[in-house]
Amino acid sequence: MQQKHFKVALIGQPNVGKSTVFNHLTGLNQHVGNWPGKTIEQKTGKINYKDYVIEICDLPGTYSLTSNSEEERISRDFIIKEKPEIVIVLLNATSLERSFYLLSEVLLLEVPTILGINMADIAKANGIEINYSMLEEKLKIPAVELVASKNLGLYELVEKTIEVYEKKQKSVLPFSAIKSTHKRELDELSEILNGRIPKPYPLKWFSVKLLEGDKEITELSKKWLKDKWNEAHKILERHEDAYLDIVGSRYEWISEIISLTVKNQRPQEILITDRIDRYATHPYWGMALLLVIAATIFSLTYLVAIPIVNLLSSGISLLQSFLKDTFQSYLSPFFSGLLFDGVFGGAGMVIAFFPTLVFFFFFTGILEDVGYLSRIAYIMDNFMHRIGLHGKSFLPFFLGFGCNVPAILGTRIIEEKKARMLTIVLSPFIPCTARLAVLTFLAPAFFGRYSFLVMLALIMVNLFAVFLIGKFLSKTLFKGEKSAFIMELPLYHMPDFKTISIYVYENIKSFIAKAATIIILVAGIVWVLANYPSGNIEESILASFGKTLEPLGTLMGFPDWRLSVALLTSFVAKENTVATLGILYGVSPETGLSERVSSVLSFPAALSFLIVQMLFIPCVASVAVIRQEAGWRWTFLSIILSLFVSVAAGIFTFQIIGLFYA
Amino acid sequence: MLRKLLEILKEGNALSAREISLSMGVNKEMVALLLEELEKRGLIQSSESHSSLCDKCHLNSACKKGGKRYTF
Ligand SMILES: Nc1nc2c(ncn2[C@@H]2O[C@H](COP(=O)(O)OP(=O)(O)O)[C@@H](O)[C@H]2O)c(=O)[nH]1
Repeated sequence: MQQKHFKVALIGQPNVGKSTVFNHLTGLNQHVGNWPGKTIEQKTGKINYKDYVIEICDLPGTYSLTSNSEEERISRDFIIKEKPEIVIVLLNATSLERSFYLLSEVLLLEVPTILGINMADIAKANGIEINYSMLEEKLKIPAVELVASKNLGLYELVEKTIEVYEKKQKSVLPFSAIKSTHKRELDELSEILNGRIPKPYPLKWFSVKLLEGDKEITELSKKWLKDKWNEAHKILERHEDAYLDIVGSRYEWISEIISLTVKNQRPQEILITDRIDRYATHPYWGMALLLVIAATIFSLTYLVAIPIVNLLSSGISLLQSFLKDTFQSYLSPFFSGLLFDGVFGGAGMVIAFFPTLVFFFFFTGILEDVGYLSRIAYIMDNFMHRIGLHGKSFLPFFLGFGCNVPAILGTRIIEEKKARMLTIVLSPFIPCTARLAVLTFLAPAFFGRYSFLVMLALIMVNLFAVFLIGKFLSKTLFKGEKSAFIMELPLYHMPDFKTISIYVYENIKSFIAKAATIIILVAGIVWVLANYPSGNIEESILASFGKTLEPLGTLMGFPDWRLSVALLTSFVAKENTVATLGILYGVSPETGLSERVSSVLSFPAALSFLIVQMLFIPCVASVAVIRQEAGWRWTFLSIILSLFVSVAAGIFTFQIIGLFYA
Repeated sequence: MLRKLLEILKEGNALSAREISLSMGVNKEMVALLLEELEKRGLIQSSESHSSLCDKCHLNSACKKGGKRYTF
């Protein structure tokens, strides 16, 4: 019996399993080369099945048939010029939307088509159910379920291919290629193009693609239309945005088909999440809830952590004096001082930080794990928009709450140089986590049981500052510019203790790494400077240096030079403030840092100190990034500005609160 | 459909993928696809608001992890 020959093209998006299908179908009967004049691989092969010899060409993986990439051009040229009898479109059952877009473009070429829906196993596992008979009915083309990796469905795919070949049916476009609003332009273009474009190109497809703004088709039209091009160009100019409707209608069709033929169970979790989010992410309710949650976290942290911190501080001090007493006689006074008062004292102070941090991480860990933390950006963004701020004007500031370094890098989204520089200079005013941690630790030392209120107030002051800065930028530099912020909000779920423990562990670990290196180093240096030359701290070089700052310190309410020096050491790393205070105030088992500091600092002075700490020069890492991103001039400006603003705020706080407090 | 999404974006708010999908009556995958399309055509520009430095920050999900800003 006579063998029948015909040609088939295999097309699909990258990773859909095309090679797997191709290899199963052709076996060893394949040839690998390159597309003529291209570096892209071309695979062809033969299927000998019953009385048929099917020549199959594996087209390059592609998402659409617009002329944006070489792959897309090769694929569509093959279908148009080589005229395969049938095109097999491989779809990915787990991302049907994307696959369908390619399908819609293939259908537009009006070639007989068959669908192979691959990855059916994964789709099923994910709860995606496809109604094949409905799909075939709606598309008027056969659809075969495939699990190519297990060689399932491929036999049926070949059978269907032959069936379609034998029927020799013309394909019909199952959707309208164009919206009625653009029908006239399309007709006008077709009229101009008719008889002027070479044979293999389908007139309707060519006209649609021209109206859609396809680059290659536009170039070809210019070439082929010659003096008629002007006429076409005028139509195109008038309907410059027609593609929004043309492409948009393809998506509408996809969405409609998917909603009719694909069922994806909505788990209970989604419903619960939606219900919670109605309030939790509401621009005003959400903001209120956020404040309540923040207040709860701080008060809980303090409630549990403070007794432990006190215990730990005395424990560390006891150990410190014990070690000092035991080993003093074996070491030189300088060395034992450096080791026990300097390094141990400084690091011990920071270690006393621990419980506060552990509980803080624990509570934020819960929020993170249940899915609330990722909503904060959303709530804030929404709130800021409601009160008229431009998104770009506060994005870097949000990042700044984590760390100023990414905030400064985050300003890269701002194209305009002046706006960007301004944002960079303002970013360090946002208290990063390290500063917040220092505050979290110092606040109870200064304010006892009111500390959480103070913390909250300070954070509110900062948010207000973000608001003011944002308002200023929105009114000036970003005026008239628009932006939208889209994010994926995770589903809420019950907290998992193990995940939270890992979260706490990871964070504590990185804190220890910092404490073990940079903080101890600075503590050592501070101790040496505070004991050189005579061992009497008041006569040390650090004191004489600190005393030059005293006039300014007095204005801010600082009773002595130690506080100014503690602030200065925060330049290296913010946590150093705590370590330095510990060294300079010589904490002992009987009197912890809280007692020592609160005995020298009045309420207005303590508040002023915290505010200065919060607004002070950013740490070295941030300064380095500012220099990298903005150059020396801006770095210098940033340092001067932070210095000025922090000192001014300190003076203002002390003087004003002092009036009421006296 | 693309026009509708553009209109929604131009309101300039913070949006969750689910909100958009609800107001457009399509699923989230579709929304992602439409956003890609608008971006490919140069109608919107997106910027990932997350830097690799943020990976170390314990509050990173409170920031902008998973968020994209679109400007026109
Ligand atoms: N689970 C599953 N995996 C598949 C299926 N078909 C292909 N794969 C796998 O998907 C990956 C990509 O397949 P490949 O044929 O290289 O994709 P191509 O880029 O379209 O050529 C490979 O690891 C295949 O083993 C399928 O139906 N189910």
